[in-house]
Amino acid sequence: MERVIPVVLIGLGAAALIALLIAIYVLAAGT
Amino acid sequence: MHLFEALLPLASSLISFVFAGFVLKRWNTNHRPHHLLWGIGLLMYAIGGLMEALYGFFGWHPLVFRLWYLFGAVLVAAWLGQGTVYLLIRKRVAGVRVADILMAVLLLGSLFAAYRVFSAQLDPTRMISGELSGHAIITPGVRVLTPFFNIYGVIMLVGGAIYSAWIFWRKRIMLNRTIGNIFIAAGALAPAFGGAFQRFGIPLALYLGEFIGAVLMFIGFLYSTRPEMVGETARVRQA
Repeated sequence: MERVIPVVLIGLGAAALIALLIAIYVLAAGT
Repeated sequence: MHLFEALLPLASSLISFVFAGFVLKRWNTNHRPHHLLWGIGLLMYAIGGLMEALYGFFGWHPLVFRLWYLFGAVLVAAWLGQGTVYLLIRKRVAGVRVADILMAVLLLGSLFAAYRVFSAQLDPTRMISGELSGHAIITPGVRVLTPFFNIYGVIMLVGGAIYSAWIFWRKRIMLNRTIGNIFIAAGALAPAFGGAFQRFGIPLALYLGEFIGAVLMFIGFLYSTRPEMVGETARVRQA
């Protein structure tokens, strides 16, 4: 548990950044 | 009728209605604004799912599409995120709460989006497969609004949940809130990715993402709000 939770949080943060990048790409593509 | 494309969002909608009931019941007792905003956001989630189900069962209707697009695609993430803003941002500028300023901007933006969505020209033949998608909107400048709301929603809702999970974890208190917020963050990301995959032409991605999102966020909420079990934090410290 001590090691798992930080890794999960970093993973979620990375996933959130990817989701944001996709949203910005969609915005830039103007679709 | 596309049975699976109707039943899956119907399930998401039912879960979200129940979830909204839990959250609004809390608001009814404590009157804290984040519960109200989350409750409204979840009702939007439920309406979005219901419209998808109606489309799956009965086919195209412009009103069903407009309600789906407005609540299910444009507003839901931002309004849920606004709840988190009220929970986490207490800062004031010139005596006014930053959360209230952002709320005013969101409200005006939502009214503008509602006007644009309800006045847009539609062509249902542009949608792929049996799912609702924004491709049906012909009028330029409408779909482009959606990412603005969703970027705000993802930053606030997912970022806020990750931040909360980290704070509780760092302090080694209320492990249930750490785990609950992890579920909420993962659940909020699921429809975001589903929507992105749908835009890239993957069938059922959005409906599946919404279903997974509703389930995970509900689990996260129930986990966060349950009383902490005696000795739970102590066990984490020892782990």
